Amino acid sequence: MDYFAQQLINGIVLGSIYGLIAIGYTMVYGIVGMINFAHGDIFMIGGFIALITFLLLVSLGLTAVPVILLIVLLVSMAITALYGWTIERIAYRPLRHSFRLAPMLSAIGMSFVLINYSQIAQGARVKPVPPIITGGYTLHEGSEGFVVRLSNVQIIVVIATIVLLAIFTWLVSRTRLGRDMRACEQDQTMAALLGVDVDRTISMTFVIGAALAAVAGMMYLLYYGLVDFFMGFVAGIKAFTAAVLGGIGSLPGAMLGGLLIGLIETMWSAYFSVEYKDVAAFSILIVVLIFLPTGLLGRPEVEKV
Amino acid sequence: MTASSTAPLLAIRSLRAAYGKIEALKGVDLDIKSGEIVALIGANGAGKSTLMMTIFGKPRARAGSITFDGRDITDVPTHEIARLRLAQSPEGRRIFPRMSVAENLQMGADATDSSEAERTAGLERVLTLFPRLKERITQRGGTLSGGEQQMLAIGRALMSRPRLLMLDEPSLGLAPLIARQIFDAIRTLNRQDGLTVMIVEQNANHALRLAHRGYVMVNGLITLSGTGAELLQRPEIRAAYLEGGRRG
Repeated sequence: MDYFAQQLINGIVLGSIYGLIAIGYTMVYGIVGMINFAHGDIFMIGGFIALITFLLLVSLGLTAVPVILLIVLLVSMAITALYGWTIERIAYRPLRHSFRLAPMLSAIGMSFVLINYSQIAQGARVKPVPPIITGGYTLHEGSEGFVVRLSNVQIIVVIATIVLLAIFTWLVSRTRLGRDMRACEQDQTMAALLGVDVDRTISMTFVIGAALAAVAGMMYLLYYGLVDFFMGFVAGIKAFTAAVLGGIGSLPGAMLGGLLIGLIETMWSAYFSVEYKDVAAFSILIVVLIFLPTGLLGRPEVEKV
Repeated sequence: MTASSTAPLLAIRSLRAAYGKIEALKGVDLDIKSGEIVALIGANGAGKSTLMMTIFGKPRARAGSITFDGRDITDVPTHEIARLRLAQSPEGRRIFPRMSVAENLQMGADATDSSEAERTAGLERVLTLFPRLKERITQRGGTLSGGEQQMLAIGRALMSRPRLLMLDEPSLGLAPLIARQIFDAIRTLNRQDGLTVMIVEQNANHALRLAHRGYVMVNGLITLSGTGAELLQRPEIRAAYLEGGRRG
């Protein structure tokens, strides 16, 4: 039971990171109907920018951890968002009215560009950082000496995720920008007839998705204490799987999918084998898609007209 | 910005537009004066809906000009045209199916950056005109019946406080009673609020009775124009759009 509780904590933390990335996939799919294969690498860029900002602040002599974290968060969100905006502008927008697969192929190309650019700029080696946030709480000490621990990093990851999702949900459901985004998702022509600047709204979607991925990148850095140029690939595929599992296009679905993939992976590693954790995650995806082709919270394609 | 009072609110000159190689508008001239209801009638595929969409730049005009209130809007981006308070209830209604009725109406108000007071006043006007929408205000657009969706599409256009309201087939697919309600609402808006209306209809009888003036479109060209009453008397109109239409 203790062991299970510990794995549950670990799974939720991992799932939060996947969920934050998955939102970017699902938002972009919802509004422009493409899979942004470079999104995982945007997450990686976010991790690197967090690392660079962190080292910069420390070398400037800043020591107050909460201040450092807040600055790192804002800087990596802002710069990564700029990456997201630029990629849409140069690699996807010119192809928007081309054939359907064109922007997707361009996205795969962008993914390679980002990976190789990071490798050249930052080197191929894994970049470790000393633990920035230390300490934690012992929740329970079992009779056989097994200890259930909740670290401060884990608490921060989960709280940051919840706060960001609350802000994000508010943005999408209550603000004018959110309404414009949903309008573009449902009918771009009509949105334009109603004065919505569709290009700008799509840009904002990429900006928001990238900013959330940057948060995930920073959380990853804090939690695992390392980044490398290739980390966006696997994490991206997992988050994409999460988005499909939850129902691509559905925002709560992306979060739920992320959480489930995180939990499945963690539990499988804990009880069966670490080597096959990815097999487990993808198998669950296949089973779900057989019985629920639109994912857990996805809506059927056909709308009542 | 404002033209002299005699100039038309909307002036279309030699307008051409095409979808790929298929030319849908072959040189259309049309005027709408402030305070008028103008009907555009014609068979399926004549180019009526294309004309409405071309005014909004979708598709872009290939030649000719569109002038609204003295300003050339032929090449103005679609989303900026709505800001000039030109509103459209397009073919197929195109309400947002996964937004509530209230949000659909908000989208209309957003189009012209309405103030809170304008939103409240606009909402009250729309809900007085279409009380059915009040009952459905929290429901998703996609769950409404066809008639309710039509009311919502018109209501949404009205929320942008239009100076010219363009309606594409507002009676299509509706039960006669509902269609009459909608035509009554258009008449009320024109008489009480002085709203200028352009209405595209296949139901020529209804449209021409409602309109001050009408245009007949055939194959991408305007072939006839005149007052509603005049057009209703024309034998070729009766043959093509009224008697045959009634029996069918």
